[in-house]
Amino acid sequence: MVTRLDPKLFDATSEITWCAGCGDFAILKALKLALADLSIEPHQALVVSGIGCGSKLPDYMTINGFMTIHGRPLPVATAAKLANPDLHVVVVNGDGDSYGIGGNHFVQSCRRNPNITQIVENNQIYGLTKGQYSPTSDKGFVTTTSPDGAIELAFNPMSVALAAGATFIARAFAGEPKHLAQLIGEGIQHRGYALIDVLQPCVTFNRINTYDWYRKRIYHLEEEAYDPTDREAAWQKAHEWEERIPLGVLYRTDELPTYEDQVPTLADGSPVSRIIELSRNPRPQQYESLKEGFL
Amino acid sequence: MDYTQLLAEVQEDGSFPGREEAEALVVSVLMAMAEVLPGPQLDALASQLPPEATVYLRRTRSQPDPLFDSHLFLGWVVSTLDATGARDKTVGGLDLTAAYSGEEAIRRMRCVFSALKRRLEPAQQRELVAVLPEEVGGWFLEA
Repeated sequence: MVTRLDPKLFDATSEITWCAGCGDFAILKALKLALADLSIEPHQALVVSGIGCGSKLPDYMTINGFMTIHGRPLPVATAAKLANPDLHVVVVNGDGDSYGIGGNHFVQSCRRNPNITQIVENNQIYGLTKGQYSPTSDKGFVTTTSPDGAIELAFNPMSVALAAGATFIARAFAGEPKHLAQLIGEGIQHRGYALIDVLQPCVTFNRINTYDWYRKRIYHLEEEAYDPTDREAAWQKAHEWEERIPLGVLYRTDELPTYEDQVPTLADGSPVSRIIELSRNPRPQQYESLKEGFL
Repeated sequence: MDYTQLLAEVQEDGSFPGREEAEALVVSVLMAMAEVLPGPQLDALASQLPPEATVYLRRTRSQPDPLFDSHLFLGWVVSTLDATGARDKTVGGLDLTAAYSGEEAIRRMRCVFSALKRRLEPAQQRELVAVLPEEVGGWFLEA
């Protein structure tokens, strides 16, 4: 039986600089709760982020944290997971960082299937830089950089993830932190890449997609006769927006191996454990052998 | 009970230039309360308000989210404040609206709470405070 930890174990003393009412507060709270519920201690997990309001999150937790350059948390997280597969690796970044600047890493992670969890704080705007339209801004969205309305179609992370081969695709709403925590927990437990796209109001710069806007549109797949292993049904759900927005696990499959499962050198143990062993009992030729395994 | 009177009280208390601003505030606070109050307290509150206001106390979920806290509550109110929108008001990277929106939202929320308290018996007020997120309950008491 798993002993549930106290979520306060993850509290930090850093001053939180998010705007009052920001949806990021709920994401932070839900992540702490999910880790505590799974009895994952701070030293057993790593949170990797990029650049943006939400990417400040690792600083607001007592946990291993790595804030990367803009758009690059996924490759850093994948490398950390390869170095130490025993670590629970969670990526937290915004829609711009994930789907815009880091868009290629997002697609490659979907098809590689590393055993990591990505939580995307999708507020459909660049908040830290004061309100420019982002990849997920709806067409016609007025911002400082789209004064006549965004002319591009919005990036659809659900359908892109499905097409690229992601093995766990879920969507949550920051206004429902308990449901969000449950989905984060499922994502962490999933063996493979898990995407949790969190619809998260930016209360300062996005005056369209507010808590009320989402509240009127969201519904829960768990409350319908929906089978998340049905890829075609997931494709349909992935395209629902505007009138009705589905929350929950859109798609999952446990039938594919993880990226780490297929890296031969990991069969001899994790690089971190082997380096620790070598530091206790130095054998230069073993360092070379370890390096060669990744070349 | 008169909805117009309720809005007038909030408008005067908050020194809002227009009735629309007061109404947007009342609506946002009521909707946030609908997210967090258990059924009996929600019904009790609705019974003391004019029908035009009670429509905002409808909740789509059968139970409130137990993790709904003061940050989320504030989010519903901050969304109604005048903000940058399509205009850039930043000063050297500091957005003044963002920096002070929390304090302003709490000030405005208290105006609505004050109007609600005039319509609730002390026992009902105590019941509400007991089920509101802790900080929000504090703001309600201070109103």
